[in-house]
Amino acid sequence: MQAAINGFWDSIRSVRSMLASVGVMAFILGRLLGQEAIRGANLWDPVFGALTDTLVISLILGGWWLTWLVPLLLTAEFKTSLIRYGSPARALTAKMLYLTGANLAFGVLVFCGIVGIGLAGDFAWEWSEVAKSEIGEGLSVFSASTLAAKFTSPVIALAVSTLFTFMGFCSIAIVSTALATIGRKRAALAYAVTMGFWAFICSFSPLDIPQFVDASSLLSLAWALGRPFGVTHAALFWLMSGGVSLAVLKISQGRLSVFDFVAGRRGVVLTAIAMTVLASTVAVSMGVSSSADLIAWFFSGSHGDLASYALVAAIPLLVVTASATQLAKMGPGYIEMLLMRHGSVQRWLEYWWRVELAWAGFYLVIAIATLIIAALSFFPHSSTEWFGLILPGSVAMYVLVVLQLTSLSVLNQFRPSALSMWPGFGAAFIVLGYWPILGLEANFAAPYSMSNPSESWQATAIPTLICALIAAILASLSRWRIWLNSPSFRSPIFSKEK
Amino acid sequence: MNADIWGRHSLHRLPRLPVGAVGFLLICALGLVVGFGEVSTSGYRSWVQVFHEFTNGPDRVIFPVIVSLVAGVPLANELSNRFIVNTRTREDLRKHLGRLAFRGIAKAGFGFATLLMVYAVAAFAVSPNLFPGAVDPEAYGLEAASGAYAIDATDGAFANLANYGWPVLAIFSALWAGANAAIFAGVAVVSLLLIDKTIVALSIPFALYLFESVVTQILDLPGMSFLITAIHPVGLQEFDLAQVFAPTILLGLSTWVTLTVLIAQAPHNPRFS
Repeated sequence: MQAAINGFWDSIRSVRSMLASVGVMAFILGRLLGQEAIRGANLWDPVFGALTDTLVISLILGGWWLTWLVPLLLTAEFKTSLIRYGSPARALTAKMLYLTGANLAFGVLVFCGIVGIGLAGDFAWEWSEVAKSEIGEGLSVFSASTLAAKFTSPVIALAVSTLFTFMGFCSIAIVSTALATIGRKRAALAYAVTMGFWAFICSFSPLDIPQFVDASSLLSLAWALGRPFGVTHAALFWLMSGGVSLAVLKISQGRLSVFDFVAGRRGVVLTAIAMTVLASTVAVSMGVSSSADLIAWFFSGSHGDLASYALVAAIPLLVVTASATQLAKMGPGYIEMLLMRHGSVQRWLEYWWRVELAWAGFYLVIAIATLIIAALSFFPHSSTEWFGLILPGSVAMYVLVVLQLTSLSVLNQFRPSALSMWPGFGAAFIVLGYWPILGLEANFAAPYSMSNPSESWQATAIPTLICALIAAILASLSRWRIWLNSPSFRSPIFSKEK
Repeated sequence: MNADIWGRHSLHRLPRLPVGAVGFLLICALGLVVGFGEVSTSGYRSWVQVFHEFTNGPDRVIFPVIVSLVAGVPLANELSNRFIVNTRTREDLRKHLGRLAFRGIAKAGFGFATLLMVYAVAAFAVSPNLFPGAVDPEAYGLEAASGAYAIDATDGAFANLANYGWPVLAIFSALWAGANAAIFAGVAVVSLLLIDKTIVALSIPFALYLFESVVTQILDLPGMSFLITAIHPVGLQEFDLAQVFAPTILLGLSTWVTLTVLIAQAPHNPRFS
């Protein structure tokens, strides 16, 4: 917090910030003088005309923001920052707080200027008649009317628009500061200057810049609101910048483990989302043309073609495989610790079941939510009669996950090294799901299979029940705790001899 | 100046020969020479067909060999000189294996994606300037205007994408070849972890590639043959997207499951002790 106060204090009394805010005031005054003749305009029209103009914003970015950012980048020393702040993450946090304070001070200066102009006359708490009425092709995007269409009060619009621009500045700053913190000063400087330069080029828009690389929709709320998915792209860029800076810090400490990420909870959430997005995209590319068709395709299972089946069957299988890797990671020593903690094998197993069932449910909810979002965004004007299909399909898929988890548990209880057989079990589930031995009516390895939307519960009820029955039988088997009582498991605590 | 965070300078690390990069350059040069040689002497129905001519180069056959060399050789070296065994007290074994596997898979995938992009540029941007007469739809009995992007049923499963402009087709083809290369790289890593003999393990991807192609083509399922679809799905027969995607998805899924379980169990694997 001290860093933020320092930044605020350094910025509010600096000549740079004062000159820059005077420059912004000059832009506002210039527009105010230009609109003297327009009837029905008030103070907010020139204010938003200047503050959301990408040219003004990129001038502030290049002429003021970089003068605060670049010295921070150049003076960064990794060892010094470790001694001073304790860890790279804390160093990054302190520097970002400092920049936040500096930015806040600039905002306060500009706000004081606006209040000063407002006191001189023309002040109102509401949008002007011009801003409320003028919505048309000929009008500039950078005007109060763009925001008046979305916000009821100009004060709220001012706060949101300033925050948006501030987030854009900070998302550029956080990556370069992270790079500087770990000692890559030149890379940090290159990133900051390149982004500033690119924002400047984009604000002229000399050519039709593709939406996803347009820096203007990152910096100006009015511009972002005017482009399709503009605000979404900006939010994605903020998230991506945060993720990149975290990754940079982790790499610097040698703490980034691909395997731990992939097999961990976050990795499985990402896998579930990615597989569902991939499946929906493939479905659309193969000719699915409405959201009802997409959901029916998703739950077609053994009635669909092999590629569709494998894409969807991969989701439960990958979820359970992550559990398998977590089990396989436990060495004998770790299991002893767990048994000591939980008191008995039964209690540990019950704990494991509770945790894994809850997480599996969470992953499936994420996957189904992604599917619904994909259906709504691929076919926004399609009817929503398909919601009825989702419940039987996802219940059946969850029961399938339970069955796969029980077979995993049996493998683990049989012998820890038997988990090597899990890929074989997974392959068996995939094969049996597409070529069911008990017939299509009793397809326990893909119980969610529906041949057409009209028979949702009728199609999945019996396979789901059979799946649950097999899971119950296997679950009772897994309580035999074969390997823990076998002589090959020489535990000093739980062996029978003691 | 160029020190990392612990103060080590990059000079302290031994320089490595860029074997992978040089290899990809050679394949790329070979493919371009063969492709331009064909285009200079033949007439085609459309520029999409010219692109297919480039993808039908020698790398369609040696693809799994290159992939297993790029992805497998660093791991094979570390396995054979007991580097992993000697250093596993210094670094977590799963983390080390995960990084090796990820690097190999990423290199192979990125390399083949780039290769396909180069072929697309050669076919759609360079060839029209070098050999403007190479596409002659009228010789096929088509009208010139419709023939420029005339898509035929035998033109391959992705050819319809050319209607959105050739960069779309190029990007999708690059992603497809990259995904296949990454999956075969994963197969190479899995077979290295499972099989003791390095040379046998490294030849498993090629054997799988050929065996799967022979079986599916005998079964009259050309769209499922890796030889026909892995680099770019185009052949003499007609096939649909579902056939093309199925073997890649299944192989990718089984490779992913096996690789994660193998790496999770690596500390109990006698090869690393």
